[in-house]
Amino acid sequence: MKQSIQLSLAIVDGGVSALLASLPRQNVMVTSRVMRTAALYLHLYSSLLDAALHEISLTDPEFSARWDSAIQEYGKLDAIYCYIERLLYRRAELRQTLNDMQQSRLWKLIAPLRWIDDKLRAQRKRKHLQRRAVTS
Amino acid sequence: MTKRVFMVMAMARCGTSTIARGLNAIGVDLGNSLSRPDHRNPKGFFEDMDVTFKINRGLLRLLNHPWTCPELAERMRLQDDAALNQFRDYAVRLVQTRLTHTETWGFKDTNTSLLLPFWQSVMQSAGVEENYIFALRNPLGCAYSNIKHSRLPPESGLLEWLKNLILAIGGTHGRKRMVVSYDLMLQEPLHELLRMQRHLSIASVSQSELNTFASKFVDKKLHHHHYTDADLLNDPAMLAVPVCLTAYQLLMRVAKDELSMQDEEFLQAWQQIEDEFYKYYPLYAYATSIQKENHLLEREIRVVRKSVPWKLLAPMRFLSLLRL
Repeated sequence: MKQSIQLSLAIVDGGVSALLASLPRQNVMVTSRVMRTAALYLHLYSSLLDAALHEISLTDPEFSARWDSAIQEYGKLDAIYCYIERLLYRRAELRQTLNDMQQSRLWKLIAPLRWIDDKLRAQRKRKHLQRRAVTS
Repeated sequence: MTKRVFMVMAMARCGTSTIARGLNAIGVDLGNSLSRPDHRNPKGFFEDMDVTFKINRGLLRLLNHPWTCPELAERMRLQDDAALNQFRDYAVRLVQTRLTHTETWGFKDTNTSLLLPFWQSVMQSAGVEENYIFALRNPLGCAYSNIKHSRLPPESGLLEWLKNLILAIGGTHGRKRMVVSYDLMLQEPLHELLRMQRHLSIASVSQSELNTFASKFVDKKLHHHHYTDADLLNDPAMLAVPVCLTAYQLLMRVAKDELSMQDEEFLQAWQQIEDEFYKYYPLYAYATSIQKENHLLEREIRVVRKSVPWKLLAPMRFLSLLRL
């Protein structure tokens, strides 16, 4: 919301540069928790934003150096990104399986039986944890 | 004379049980409350059940299973002091009880490296001397052995391996500590036991105990996942956590006594490894959080499949499949 207001104000003021300047810059992004998992994008975004603001040219050697270093960093992280992607795919599969089980009509039909089963399991777990409590 | 506590630390499947038994062979008492052997570890875990199940697992449950020290510190800060003090008091009493009739007591648990700040405060309150033994095994050996028992992908095992060592070594600078290689222990058990005795300044050992350990306990047939240094370079899982290779090579030099953990060279090299780990820490923590979520989902599915109501529905599920 705050960002859309900033963008609107920038448009009212006129000028593409003012609009671009109102976009989130490094200081905002560094504090973001999500960005910390993908710090590489911060460098890419920063380089491209500088190019968009005409602070640096796409043909500039400095831009090329920054771009190459980001690509090199991406090469290092590629394997871990693939691993994360596999984990996310597996998570989607598992969620789907569980959802299919819990949404089936048969499963809903035996709700009272499940309620008793859940209570018994909770009781067993409570007893198990009591045996392992530090006070005993 | 100050009583001494020996802590064996590393990820599960790193040979901590063999090293804990080795510690016992050189005269360190492991207590009488040890967990029983099972298919995962036919020769025994040598884990103190009160430490593993009551203290470490109880504390981690209370703190909602943090992954590393930054998370642990944050959650401990948010936690009610009374609940933490209950664990601390119990642990101090336990250490004092275990040391009533002996001068040296040792324990091992894979969660100790994560809970190191807690255990260090316990040791300080109990007034005992801390000694640390880091079990080292080829990271691929641990990761692939872990797949069989926890069904986690090898990358997850490698991250666990690295995290355990980062926390254990980072949290014990300036304290009495040593690295013991599991692979070297299997190759030359007597040599490794005497090395442990020398490094840990244990006065005398019984030769018959050493011989029993070397001839009867150590069984190379139980070493199923054997990997070489070349495998570390070629395995695709290693690409996700490449710093494991540097860490393993450095620690192997320490385990072979080519380098000391007090040397400036070691400290500088380890600092670089730590920096590399913490540089990618948010990414690793994110991967671990998804892995944990998957683990919980798998467990939930397993609970449903094993429940009596689900089994009762088997014929009806079969019929509905036929109709489809």
